[in-house]
Amino acid sequence: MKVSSQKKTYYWTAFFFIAPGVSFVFFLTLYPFGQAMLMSIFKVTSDSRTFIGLANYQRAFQDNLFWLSLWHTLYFTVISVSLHYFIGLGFALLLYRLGKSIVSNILRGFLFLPWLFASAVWCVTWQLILHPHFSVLNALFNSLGLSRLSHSWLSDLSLLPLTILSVVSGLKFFPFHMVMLFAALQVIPLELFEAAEIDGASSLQKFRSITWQFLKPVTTIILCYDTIGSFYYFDLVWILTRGGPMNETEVLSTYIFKTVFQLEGSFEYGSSMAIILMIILSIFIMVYIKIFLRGEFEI
Amino acid sequence: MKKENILKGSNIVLLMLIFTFSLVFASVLCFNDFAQAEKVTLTVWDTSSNERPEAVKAIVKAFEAQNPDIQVKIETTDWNSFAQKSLLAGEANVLPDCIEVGGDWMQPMAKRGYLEDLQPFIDKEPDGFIDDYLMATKDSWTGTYSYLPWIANVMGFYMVEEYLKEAGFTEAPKTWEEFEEVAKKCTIKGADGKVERWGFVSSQKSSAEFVRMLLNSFGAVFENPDGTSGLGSPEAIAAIEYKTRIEKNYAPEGIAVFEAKESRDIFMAGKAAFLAEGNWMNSMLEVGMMPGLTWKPFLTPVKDVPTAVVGPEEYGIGKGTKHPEEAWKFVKFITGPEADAILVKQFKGIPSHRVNMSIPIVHLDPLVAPFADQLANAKRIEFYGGYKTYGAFVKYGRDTYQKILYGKMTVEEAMKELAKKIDEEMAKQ
Repeated sequence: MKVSSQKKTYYWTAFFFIAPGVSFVFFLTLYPFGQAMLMSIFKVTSDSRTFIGLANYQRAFQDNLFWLSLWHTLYFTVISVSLHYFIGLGFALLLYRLGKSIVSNILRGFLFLPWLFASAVWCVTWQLILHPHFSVLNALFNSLGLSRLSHSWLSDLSLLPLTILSVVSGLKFFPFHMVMLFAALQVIPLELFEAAEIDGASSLQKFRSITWQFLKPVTTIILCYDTIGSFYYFDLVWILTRGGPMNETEVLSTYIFKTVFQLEGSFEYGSSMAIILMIILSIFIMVYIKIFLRGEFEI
Repeated sequence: MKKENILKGSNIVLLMLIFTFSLVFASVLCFNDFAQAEKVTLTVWDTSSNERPEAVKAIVKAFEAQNPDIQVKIETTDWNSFAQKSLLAGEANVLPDCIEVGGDWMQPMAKRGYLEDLQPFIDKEPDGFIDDYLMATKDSWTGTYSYLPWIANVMGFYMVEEYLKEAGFTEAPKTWEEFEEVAKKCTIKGADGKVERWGFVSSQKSSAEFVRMLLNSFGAVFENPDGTSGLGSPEAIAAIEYKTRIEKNYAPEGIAVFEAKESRDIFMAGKAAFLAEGNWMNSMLEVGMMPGLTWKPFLTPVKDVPTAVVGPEEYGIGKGTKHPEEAWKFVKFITGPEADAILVKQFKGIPSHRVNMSIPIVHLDPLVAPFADQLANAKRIEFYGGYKTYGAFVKYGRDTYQKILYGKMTVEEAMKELAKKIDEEMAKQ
């Protein structure tokens, strides 16, 4: 079928509009990904590049530190994403309750501050707060006569340093959840609450049947987005603990970084671990989308 | 009609002006290119310009004066990010003509073939060229000279003189037994039983200075002739037992997680009497030490023979450079005795050439002499970067020390496990 000249113009116009975006995606994501895949199936020495198939992947599966780092990554992700969400939800509900007031506006601005800090600045600040010997937090406790609350926060294994890192992450990223959930709360028609009140619904019933139904779509999206970000999070662990003590805070992103740039200079092994991480995340997202985004949202 | 004619004339004048300017501009560019074509421009990546900018400028100036047909363009990167930059550039095949290498990434740079083999260049030099270097070593992976040392970094100790005097000592400790005794007496507790000042502090990096000095001093062989790790030996175990005792009793709580920064912060805040580091700390202490305290370096204590541990910074030639001969000239100069002498005389460096050991400042300056004397008198000099197992040691070492300090394993168990892990790692590579 002959395509009319008008349609041809249309298609060419569309092509030129999307070409920059597609090029961007190709050169900054697909091409590096392809390079990483290629790299992961070779072994490099000073005078040769040998094809070794899936040997690097096999090595990763036999590497105890890889599995430990993966487990830590999952742990960190679950704890920090939970904290991001529930702290954000709590403040979003509080701001919704306060309504339009000066207090609400001031509080909203104040609560948004952690999100505004550059990640590295945030991490370096917490490095001082939790410093093994010049800890600002310990100094505060000591000055308040609460010196028994002073600890070596990141070196005392009984305090679960990885959990402490998750809390620090929680305090940084909750504003994003707070803002998104607050925006979702704004669109709930007040008549629904009035009707529920008339029907004698309890607070919990109102939350479950009305509030949560409006929060669910946003929750699904932000949890997915946040999980991906937390899986790859590097700055906090690197600046505060470098994966120690005794690999207790080693996550996959820091282990991959060390493998490539510090321990072996092995781009190949690092690439294979990065691809495994990507596959794990991809499976998670596919399952997540299938379960939580199946069907349409209806009230 | 008249208006149109004027416009046409203006257009012609404008076009002629644009054409003339373009011609002049192009001519200037071409002339510059021609002039530059007479000179070779070498791109050099370094990190030392951050710490000793005047030294690097002086050396480059001296080199360019002797080689008027070569221009040197230095690009400086911070030490902490230099490894990433170098390795990535190597992988992308965009390395500069000459590059400074050091630390834990020196071996990967050579191992992955990012550096030119310097042997063909060295072969053309007069006999004894390599012998004058105090610590030129062949890379353990390539088996050839992939880099040459230009700065000698010698490990040692620093002390606060006031604290030693308070504890009743007038001299730095000379043996490890004395070291422990001084550290013990310098550890001060307050009325509440909390330690107010510690005897000793050091970092827990795998390649930490304290560990390396102890292993060498106690006679531990880092790597056996058959390529297996020597860190499970009785000497290595004894060295780490000593380390553990000192750190558990006289070092800050939480030392198990100390990076270099934490240990330096503690010492510079006047909270410790001894710090294990290297001669690079001189410039940092000059600006960062707490006012009112007198600090100075001292020799590594002796067990049976004097020893020295060196971590030199090196220079290599980037693989595939378009100017190999000129790059070699620069590498030979910056790692050579003349540049070494500039570093020593003007910037209190430790000599990396035997011929410069006789420069007076080397043995007279109190900040240089301890390190230089240590190197000159050492019966055993260790340069850990020269071992194939070094990378694996860096990978597992810190974890091992931490397991010991946290009481998860005894020293013997931990060191034997470390040696085993290193050997298993080597089998995979």
